[in-house]
Amino acid sequence: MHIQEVFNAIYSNHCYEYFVINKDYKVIEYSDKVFEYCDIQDGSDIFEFIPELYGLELEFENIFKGQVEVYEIPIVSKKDKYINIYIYPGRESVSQSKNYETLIILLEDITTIATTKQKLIQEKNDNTLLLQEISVKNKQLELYNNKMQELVRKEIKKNLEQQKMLELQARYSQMGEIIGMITHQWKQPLNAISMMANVLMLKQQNNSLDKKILEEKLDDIIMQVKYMSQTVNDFQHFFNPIKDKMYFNLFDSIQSVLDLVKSEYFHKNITVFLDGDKSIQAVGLPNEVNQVVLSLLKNSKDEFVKNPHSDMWIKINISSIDDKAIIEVSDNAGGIPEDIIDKIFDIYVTTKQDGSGIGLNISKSMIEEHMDGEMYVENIENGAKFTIILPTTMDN
Amino acid sequence: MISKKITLIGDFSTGKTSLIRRFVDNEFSDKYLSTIGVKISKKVIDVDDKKVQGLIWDIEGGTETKPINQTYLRGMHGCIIASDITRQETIDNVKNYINIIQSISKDIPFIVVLNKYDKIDEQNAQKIYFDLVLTLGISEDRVYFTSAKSGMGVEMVFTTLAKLLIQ
Repeated sequence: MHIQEVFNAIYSNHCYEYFVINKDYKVIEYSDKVFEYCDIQDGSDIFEFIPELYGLELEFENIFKGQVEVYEIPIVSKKDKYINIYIYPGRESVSQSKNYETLIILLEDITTIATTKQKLIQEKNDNTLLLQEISVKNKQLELYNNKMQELVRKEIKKNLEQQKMLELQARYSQMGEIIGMITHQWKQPLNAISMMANVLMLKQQNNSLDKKILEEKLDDIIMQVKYMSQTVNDFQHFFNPIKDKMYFNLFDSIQSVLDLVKSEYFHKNITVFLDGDKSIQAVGLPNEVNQVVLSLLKNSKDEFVKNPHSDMWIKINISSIDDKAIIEVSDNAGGIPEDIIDKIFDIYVTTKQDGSGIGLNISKSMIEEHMDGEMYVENIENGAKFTIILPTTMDN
Repeated sequence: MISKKITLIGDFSTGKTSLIRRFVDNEFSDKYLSTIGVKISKKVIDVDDKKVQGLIWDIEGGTETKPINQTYLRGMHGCIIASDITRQETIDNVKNYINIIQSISKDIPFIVVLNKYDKIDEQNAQKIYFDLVLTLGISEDRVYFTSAKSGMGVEMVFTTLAKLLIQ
């Protein structure tokens, strides 16, 4: 038998160290290399050197009493090594069977396995952390996106409201202009009505009022009132909002604008010409086109008032190229200063001392954004020419 | 001198090892090295005029698929539950760790730490703190902010727990 040799062979390749303790938890025996794991000494208190065993008095008692066969504390890191600690019953008591006088504490070196395990766990935890971080970043990104979208929505709403305000402002300004024109147009019929009323009164006082004169004068008065009523109707129509694009006769539409302003411009010695193709049907919002034309007429008029001369004219020409309708409004009011002509459609840019700088901006926006048209300006000899291009077919 | 077994538990990478390292050696490293199994450190903690030998168990952090090994909790006298204030899931799991402790004994004192306080702004930190106290239904003096990096709150947490252990 080679029992001793076999044990020697096993022992030379073992990964276990041990020590033996008595019932007072004192070390009474230990293997040679146990120092590699703890600084143990004969007779020393086990808990001083293996604090991992502290608090396990109950488990120790159970093993001493033979109630538990083994107790294990897995993967304990000690002195840069990893060990499993096992507590086994030692020598059986002579007086009491199944009771033990000593316990054997085995330290199993698992450094190699544990180091590999540590690397695997490290890798897994690093990946989990990375995924968690990505998830958090994604949530943050989503939050930022939502916030950004909300900001954009608010900003768009704000801009739309601002745009509406500007349009309203421009509209009020034009209404003031139109009221001025109506006043102008009403002056003559009002005077005529007043004079006819005076004539009727005098004839009545002189007893010379006969039925024929009365009927003639009343007819005249009714005619004048009809004319005034028509002026108001035109005014109402001018500001009647039409929201859907439609086909409309460009020439007729602009003629209706000129009908409104002709009296005032005539009295200011400004000649307004309307020429061109009378048959062109444009697509858009006719009232908005009229408002833009009126705005251009007013700008010219304001310039003429500022710098009057003997031959003041505004020419409006209607034409078409391919599927586009073209309105050209030119004048000889001096033109736009070259340093601001490129910015003349920008908001708050004006050549007038008391101007708001919104009229042309709104006009361009009406033509280009509401009607898919184009609007631009150039200086010509002694004046400026605005060109408005409108579609002649309804898009899908 | 009396010895007390103090365990640090919590999810992985909440800074348990760093808290112990800061407390015991007053050192800190930014590098994350996963703990496996358990490692014990010792430090004498002064509590008023008494001294307590703290046997501090640094236990491998729990993960979604692998909870902490409860063998390590046998015979513990007190516990610190660590969470990472920048990772909500580690805070949500505090409740589970409290349940584990209380399943062993209702009398084991514990303290919850919101670690890595240096990585978050004060306003957020306060909100997380009060949410946690409210959710757990525990006293405010059982939840602390800590930063193993700066050392903030670390000494106080161990000293407070040691006080509770000798009461």
